[in-house]
Amino acid sequence: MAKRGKGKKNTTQQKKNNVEEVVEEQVPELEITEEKQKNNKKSNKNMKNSKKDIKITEESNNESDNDSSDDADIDNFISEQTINEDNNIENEEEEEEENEEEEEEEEEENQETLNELEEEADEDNEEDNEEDNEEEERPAINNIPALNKRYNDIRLDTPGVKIPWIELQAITYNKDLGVDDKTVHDDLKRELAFYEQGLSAALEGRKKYKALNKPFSRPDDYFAEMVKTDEQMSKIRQNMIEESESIKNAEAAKRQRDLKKYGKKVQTEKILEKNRNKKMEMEKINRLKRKRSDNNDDDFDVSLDFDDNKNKNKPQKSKKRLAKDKKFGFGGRKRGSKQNTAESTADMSGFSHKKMKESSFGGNKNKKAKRPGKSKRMAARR
Amino acid sequence: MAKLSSNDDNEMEVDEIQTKTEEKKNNQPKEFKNRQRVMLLCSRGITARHRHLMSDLQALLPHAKKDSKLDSKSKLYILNELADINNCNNCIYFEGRKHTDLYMWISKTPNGPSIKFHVTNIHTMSELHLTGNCLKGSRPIVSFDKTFDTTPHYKLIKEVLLHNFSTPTTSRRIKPFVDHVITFSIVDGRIWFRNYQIVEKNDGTKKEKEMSLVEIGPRFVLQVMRIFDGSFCGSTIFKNGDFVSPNTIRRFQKQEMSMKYKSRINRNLEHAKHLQEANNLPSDPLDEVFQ
Repeated sequence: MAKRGKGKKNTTQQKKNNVEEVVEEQVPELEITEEKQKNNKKSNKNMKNSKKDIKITEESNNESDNDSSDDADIDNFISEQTINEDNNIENEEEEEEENEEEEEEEEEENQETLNELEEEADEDNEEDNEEDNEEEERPAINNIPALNKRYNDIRLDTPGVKIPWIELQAITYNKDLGVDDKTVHDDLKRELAFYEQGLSAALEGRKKYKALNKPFSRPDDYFAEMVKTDEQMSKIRQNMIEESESIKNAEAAKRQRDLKKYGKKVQTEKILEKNRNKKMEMEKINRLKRKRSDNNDDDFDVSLDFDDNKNKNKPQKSKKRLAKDKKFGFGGRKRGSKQNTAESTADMSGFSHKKMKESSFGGNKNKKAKRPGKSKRMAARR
Repeated sequence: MAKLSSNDDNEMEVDEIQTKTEEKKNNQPKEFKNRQRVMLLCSRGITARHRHLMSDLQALLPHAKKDSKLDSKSKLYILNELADINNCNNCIYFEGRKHTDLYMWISKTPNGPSIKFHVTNIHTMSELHLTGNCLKGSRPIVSFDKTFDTTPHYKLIKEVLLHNFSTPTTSRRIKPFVDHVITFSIVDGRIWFRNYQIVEKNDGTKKEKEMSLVEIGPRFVLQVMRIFDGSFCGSTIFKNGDFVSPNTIRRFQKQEMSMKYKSRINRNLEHAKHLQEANNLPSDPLDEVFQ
């Protein structure tokens, strides 16, 4: 491939050179170029190419003859372009040819591999091929007389012989299994049918054993070698436990997951509510601010609002506390609050002459008269 | 030839003995005894699963005698001699092929008939999901589907299976009580084998104990291939038309695979052709401009 590519390049360069020479030297050199190109011929393809080139050059030359020599450069340019185009087409053709070759090779390979595969298969089937062929060729056989004869030969319950049931313990299940070709692959249904067959046989067997008065069921204290060893049974038990545990764990995990989901839901709801409340409060505050800015001169309103705010923020005082506060005062400056001031000394609002006279330091002078005794009151009545 | 002739002699002798016993039976019908002994063996080249299945059967059949692996797959008539040596009148022979397929021959040696089954869907007793258990050597109840009585070949198969799987009362290794059931059911043209433990629970309220079954195993499915007139020899008296050998199944699968491959190759070729056609440019009109 690489060689081919290089060859192509060389030939194209040569072609270009040839064309240029032709254009410069014009008609008389055509024959020489032909000769040169003949020398350069290596394959049929090249032959074709060169012929094409020659045609083109001839065309260009003719044109240049007809036209003025000024057009020669343009012609040259165009001819180069056409040559390039031709080259492209050639390249594509070559590629296609290569592709075809490759495909042929591939096909050959494929055929070889197929043959190999078949051979392998043959080898695999060598053992049984003859048998298979026989089976394919021969149709199904059902030689009923022979079958019946063989059956009569081997059957145990020949007409003269009466076999006690206990000898064979064979029971035929008279019910239909209820499993057809469609439901065969339904494992549960099929196994249930087999189970029922087995159970009915066991029940019938027990009945027959009872009738014969023979022990049927194994007592609990009868120990003997079992089909499955204790080791195997313990393995089975462990397996069962593990299975049930895994089921339990899976269920627990599922529950946990659900709870988690629910919890998350609750949490998100809580957060949303919080946000909502916050938003509402912010709105309220904003509204108040707006109100304040709107009714700036109305002091009363503002104060009321503030009071509201304060009351909301602070914890409420009890009635007792309020009463005490009223009585003794609350807050304010403590120091010097009980000291007299000029105003307090000048304040005579709490002074009255009457009170002064009533409660003088002198004693019971103006004491209210006591109720007289009973005799006196009776006498006064009369 | 000499061996063969001796064989024939033996067979003749056995025949005579049998006829004698039959005569005895005819004379004294009350003293019927089911005398069955089964020789159990397999070919070389069976897989572990198949071997386990065989050992399970051995555990279930106290009247079975296990023999060593049989080397030859072509000279199966040797089995008749082997059975005779082992004092057996039945033979269950497992034939493994290609380390994948298991065939089961059940034969009434030495005179036949013999039946060849293909064994599929094998689950052995040692698998952990079968939780039942039973006494080793207790006699099973053998249950057959009623389909077994419909056609002559099924009748014959039933009889042979009964001889092999029902334990005779005279067998030495049997134990008393009945604690398992063996069922043979015909579904989908195949014989399905199941083995259940009988579990009885005492409620106290009822007179009879409540009964339920727990599967012990093994499980397998038998498909009849052929029934031969003789034991491991003779003409075919029945051949199952529905049976498709696992080889052909595999071959079809392989063919399908190769079809896939071939179709891919064809597609590639077509694609290449298409490309070629697409790349075939029409002649350039510019070529003729400067003529």
